[in-house]
Amino acid sequence: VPHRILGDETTYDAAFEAWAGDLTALFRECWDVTLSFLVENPEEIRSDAREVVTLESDSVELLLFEFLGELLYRKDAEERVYRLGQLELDGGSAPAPDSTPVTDGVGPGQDGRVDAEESSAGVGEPGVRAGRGASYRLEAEIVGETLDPERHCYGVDVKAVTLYAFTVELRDDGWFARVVLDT
Amino acid sequence: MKGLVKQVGDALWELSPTFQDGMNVPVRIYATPGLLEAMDEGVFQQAANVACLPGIVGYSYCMPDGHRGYGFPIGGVAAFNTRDGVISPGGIGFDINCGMRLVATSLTWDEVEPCLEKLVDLLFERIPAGVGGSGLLSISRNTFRDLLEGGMAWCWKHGYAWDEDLRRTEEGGCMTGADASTVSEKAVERGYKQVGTLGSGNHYLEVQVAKPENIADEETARALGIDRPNQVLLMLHTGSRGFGHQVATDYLQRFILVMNSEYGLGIRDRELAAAPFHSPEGQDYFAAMQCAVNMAFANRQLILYRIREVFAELFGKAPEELGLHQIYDVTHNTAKVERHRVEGHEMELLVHRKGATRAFAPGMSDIPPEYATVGQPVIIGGSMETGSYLLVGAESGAPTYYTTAHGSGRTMGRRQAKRTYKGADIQNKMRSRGIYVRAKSMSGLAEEAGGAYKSIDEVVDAAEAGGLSRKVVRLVPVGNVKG
Repeated sequence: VPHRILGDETTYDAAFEAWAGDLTALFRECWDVTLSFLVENPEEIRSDAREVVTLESDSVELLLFEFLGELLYRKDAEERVYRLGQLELDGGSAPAPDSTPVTDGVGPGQDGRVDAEESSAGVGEPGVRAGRGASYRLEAEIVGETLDPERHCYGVDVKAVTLYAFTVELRDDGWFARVVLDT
Repeated sequence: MKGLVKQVGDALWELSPTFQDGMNVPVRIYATPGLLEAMDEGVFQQAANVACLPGIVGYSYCMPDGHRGYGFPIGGVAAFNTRDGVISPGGIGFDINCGMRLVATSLTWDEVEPCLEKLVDLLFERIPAGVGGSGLLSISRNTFRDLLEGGMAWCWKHGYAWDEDLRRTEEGGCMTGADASTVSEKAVERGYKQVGTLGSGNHYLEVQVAKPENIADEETARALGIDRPNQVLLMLHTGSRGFGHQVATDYLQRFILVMNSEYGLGIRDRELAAAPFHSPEGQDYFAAMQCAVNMAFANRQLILYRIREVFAELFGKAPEELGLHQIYDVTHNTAKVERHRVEGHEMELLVHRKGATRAFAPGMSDIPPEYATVGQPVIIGGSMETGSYLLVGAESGAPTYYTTAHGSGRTMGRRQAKRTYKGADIQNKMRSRGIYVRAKSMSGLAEEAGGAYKSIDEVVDAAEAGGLSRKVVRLVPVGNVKG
């Protein structure tokens, strides 16, 4: 199962967990799920506009945070919704030697709840960093069209990615992300 | 965790600083026993985490409608000494100056009922709502920057506001510390087309009726402009749209990078990212936040401008003749510098209110002169099925820096609500009860079902029992426009 929608409790406007074998697939899955909150029939999005998004960060978490934020920004600024075309991500095939584990997300309970506050550890800067002097670099081709209420079945207007329980980490079975969105 | 909370007053509960290492102050929660029991455990933990932030004074408060948020609980109130305290975007919320506006009319339900559907349809057509969407203003980016610094004064200057609209808005509709140079190009790009849009989620425009049996204080209601049986009013709930979210996101990222390395701030949740109030980052965020506050005031003003147009068209009279007077506009997501007494000493504080409403008492400054004897109006939005309230601030609200609740608060997650309810069923059920609803998103409608929220009556009763605010009138919905 590539993702699971969370939200059986009152915190989350929209939230999900995603799993993938590599970071590229994880980023793709995360945007696809985010898009499905915005537009309930994303398969109807046409390829009228084509853009390239390039982002860099020394933290894979911040890179995902910025990537999702960039596409949400374009939804308002350009009044367009985008699907992902080609996606390339360099620098993150494995955790770097000085990677820092993420400390503010404990695993979900049986009811799918995530209790970031229940972690006893203090929380600092985002975890899973590239090696010193290195960085993660993302280049994404995005294709989409102007929002059209006649054809796009609107869900909720996702406006921001939060850092609440936000997690990107490499687990034994592959990459994992948890994303909580503000609507 | 709930078992550690001790009752210390009417509808007031306390969690001792011994609950968790690092707490600088106790937690205080205003709630009835029933509301306290219904609060999820995360509320207590989040309020305790807030109590650990540097410079906090008094208590870390939670209002009766409190529920778990991102970092701060929704319904959280925390004041920080401006000298050595912090500012935290998470204590304000992503939707900066999400707020409420209540507008009177001189019309009664008998006069509006025959054309209710036409009225709601027109409002739905003319006021942009839903995902994305361009607003009612076509302005340049530079003009938008002027609007960010001018707020409702900009609207007044350009003919979109009446004099009294400014007077009857918190801060006069403009926070004067706004500085557009502290706002990113991205935020400007995202926001300059969105002035005059309702948005989605729990944002709405509602047609309401003040029934005589629901008026708790007739004299105060009259002073606030509710002066005839079954008077029709309009309630508006929206904020700073994508612009405010971009400001919050930009500064959250900036704070994360410096809070440890520059200022040695340890926090328990990254959504509590903070910077010293007087640091360059803190001051920049405060100035940018004020831009978003002003944008939201202008957003609600442009929607009121369009409401007045629609009423004039439908009823064939000028808005003034139809009595479309704003009662008040109040924000429930801000941080503001105010002076309050803490442990007997007057202090300058940065008061964070996240999902909490300022409720100044009679005679305090920053209340419109015409309301000086009754106190600041407080507008509490309930679910679209159950009703809303107009309250006023009270002298006994001093301990919470004159702050009360902001809404009913969710009891059911959005996903669970969508599984439990169907938008079309809700729409039909409400129609059969005399409430006409138009919505851009049927799934969004299901998320806002009345059953997904706490009892607004119990929240308001708890606020009154705790001395935070006083009931004036309960307003019942008859029409609703949703994003």
